[in-house]
Amino acid sequence: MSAPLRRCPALVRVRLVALMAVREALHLRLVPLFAALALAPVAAVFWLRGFNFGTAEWKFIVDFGHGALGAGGLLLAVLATVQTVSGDGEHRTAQMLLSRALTPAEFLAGKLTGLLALLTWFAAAVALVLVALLRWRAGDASDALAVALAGIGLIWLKLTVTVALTLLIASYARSALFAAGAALLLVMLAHLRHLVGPGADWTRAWLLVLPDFQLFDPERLVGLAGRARALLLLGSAAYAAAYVTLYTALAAWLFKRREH
Amino acid sequence: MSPPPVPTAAVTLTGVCKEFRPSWRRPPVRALDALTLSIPAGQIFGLIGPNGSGKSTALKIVAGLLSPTAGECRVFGDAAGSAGAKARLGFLPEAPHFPRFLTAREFLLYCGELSGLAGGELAGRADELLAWAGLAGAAERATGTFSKGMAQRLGVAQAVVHAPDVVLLDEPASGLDPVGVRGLTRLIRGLKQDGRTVVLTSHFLPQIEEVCDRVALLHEGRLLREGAVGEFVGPAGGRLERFYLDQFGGSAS
Repeated sequence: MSAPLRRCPALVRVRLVALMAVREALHLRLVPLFAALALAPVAAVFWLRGFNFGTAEWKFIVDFGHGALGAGGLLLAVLATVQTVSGDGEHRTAQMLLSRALTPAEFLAGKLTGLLALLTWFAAAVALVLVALLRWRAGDASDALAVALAGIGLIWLKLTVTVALTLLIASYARSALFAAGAALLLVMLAHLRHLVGPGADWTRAWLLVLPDFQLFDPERLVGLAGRARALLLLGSAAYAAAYVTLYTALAAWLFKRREH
Repeated sequence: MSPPPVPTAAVTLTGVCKEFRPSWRRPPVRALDALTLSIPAGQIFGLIGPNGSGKSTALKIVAGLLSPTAGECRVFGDAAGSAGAKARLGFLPEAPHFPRFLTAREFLLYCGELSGLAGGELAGRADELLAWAGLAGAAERATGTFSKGMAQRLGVAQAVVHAPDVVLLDEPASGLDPVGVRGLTRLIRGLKQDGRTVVLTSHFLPQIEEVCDRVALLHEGRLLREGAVGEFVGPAGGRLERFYLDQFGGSAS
């Protein structure tokens, strides 16, 4: 254990809860799902190798990889978060943990850290498969590779917001079923938020409660040069960080007030 | 001659009320109504009463898991839920559930680390507790494979892993067979011998009668009576169960 960790008992507790969240998520048989989703593009390209997409082939592979990460990652983010947070509440495991030095905020911070680590591995696995595929099928297309990886970065940011949003709902919900249903509904609404037309009506302020997931669409990277791409990524990271901070703070507040 | 020393109170509840609001449309339900109790240090204290009398709510308030609507609760002078109070408490919830993928030893190590223990001290403590709870042979077994009795004993072990001064046990005998109850009773007595204060709730009155020094009888969130077990059973050696049934109706037979 590193020296800063030893000096800060709260960080030790957050790390312990994070490790336990990862172990629990892995135990939930999410690993096979994780592997299947990461390998799906490989299988698909083998199946489609008789076709020649010409110059558009790299785009097809990238879109497929992004799709696998986006869909699988969202399900993983929602289900793993609900299971590790609501499950502890429903089974009274949280009571045993929270009667110790562990505070509700540390408990949630640990869960968030563990789940983000899990999603990072998931995104890294998909990225590895994607890079290998692009090298194999599209040759030395370094710009295509950069766009593909930046797209994975954008999707990873969306997944971090999804975890924080689900954490917020699970901190309030009384059942895992409600938490999962509500989180999936809100994730869907976040994807549709950009469809609401422009206007200065004050009711539009309510829309700010939900992030606009369209801002994490990898298509936005297409045609951007290196610097513009980096700026877009930075802006998206700041946008995601704002929502993750807001949702996690609200979740900690709700969880503290919750009657265990 | 100096007066006999007043026993230190391990836990005090003063005018504690607790209301739950099931939903915003429904009126609040009062689980505890001005409960005032003083639990002496070093004793085994039983909370008994019918279902819904507020026993578990009282324990959760002491553990800092619930906040009282009114009144105050203190553990050795520290407000319940504060870091100081939590450090001196161990809690076993009713029907505890452990992460199924962890072994008994791993779970104890996890709880110990969360309580600030580490390294060889923690490893030694975990092994000692596994042996104490009769789980040394099952130390490397996943808790998901445990019987109810083993799970309850592991629950008691996790509650005392950090050597707390006060141990709260919510329905520890629930669902146990007579052998399991016997094993649990041995553990609870051991806690008292180690100088700890034990507060337990139970519907299994023979166990309460056997191990407790004092008992509080709750009904609808209010304290009906509190005293030494002997005061409930009488000098003629009546049974606590008889007293209980007289209070709440029913027949001992």
